[in-house]
Amino acid sequence: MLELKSAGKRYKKQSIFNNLTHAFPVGVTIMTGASGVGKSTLLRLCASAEKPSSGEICWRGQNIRKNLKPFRKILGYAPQIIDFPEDLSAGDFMLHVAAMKSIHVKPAIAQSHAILGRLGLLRDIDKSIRSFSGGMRRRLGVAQAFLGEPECLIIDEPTAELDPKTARSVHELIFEHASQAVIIMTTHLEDSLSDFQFDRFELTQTS
Amino acid sequence: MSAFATFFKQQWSRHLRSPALWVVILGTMIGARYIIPLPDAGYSTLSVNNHYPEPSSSVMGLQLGVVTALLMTPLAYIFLRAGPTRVQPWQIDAVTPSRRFARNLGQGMADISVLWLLLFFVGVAALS
Repeated sequence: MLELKSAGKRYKKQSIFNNLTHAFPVGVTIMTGASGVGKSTLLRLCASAEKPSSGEICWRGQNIRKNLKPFRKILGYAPQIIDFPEDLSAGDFMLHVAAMKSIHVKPAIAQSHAILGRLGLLRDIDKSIRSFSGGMRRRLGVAQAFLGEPECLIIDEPTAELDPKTARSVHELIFEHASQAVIIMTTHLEDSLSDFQFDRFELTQTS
Repeated sequence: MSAFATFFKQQWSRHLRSPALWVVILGTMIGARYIIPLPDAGYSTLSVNNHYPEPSSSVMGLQLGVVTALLMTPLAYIFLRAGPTRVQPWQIDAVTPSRRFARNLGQGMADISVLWLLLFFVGVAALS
């Protein structure tokens, strides 16, 4: 369980949100809210990419900032924007992330093939990322988050730029992991998730 | 294969795929050919005790080394550190548990290997 305990974020004098308290259980939680309300910022905080200005974020009762390494071992994070190394192939990119996650090469290759296969990118595994479309990049960004079978998955807009059929395959992959992981994601396609079970967490201006 | 080997292999392949590397290598080779003066050249030459040094391979190597070290190596270094091969998916790397040591060592060794490759080509140009 990932918990926000009076968490707040402020950039200089601008407060993004204040005093947020919430527990994200195992399963999928869709974070909703108007544009600019701070959804991506909150996801970055939950992924330990930024520090909260106040309060704390806990994984299984432990403050993640004080237990960064153990938390990051069980984390999969797909941010909205990734600086892809354009000259690498999709397979090499997956191996790069796997090495950063301390996953050995053999299991990393097996996992990469399995995940990319699920997301329809296996044919393109040897192509350089430079030749990828926006939708392929988005799927590759989501794919790397699943390396290492993470217990906590944080995914920011996984289906932006995807057609409905491809978006469906991404959602299916995410929801397959719902029984084993805490999954927090934002999506603009909430209406297409009527077949799936999930919790909602709404972030508002007054949060 | 360890993380170090993964990063070394990836960075090495990225360098070899980069056209800029081959431009730098070509530049150093052409540069190396012009370093050795013709017998009737009127411009400044290295001298030892007011004598022209014997144009032995070691003297030419010294001359090449001076110019390479002073001119080409900084260019190669700038290329290596600022080129497109340095792009990292930092948004993801920042939240991974790995120590950066293996990545930095692997990529650093690949950079050094490319510099050796440069020097090898300079040597080939000088001897040919």
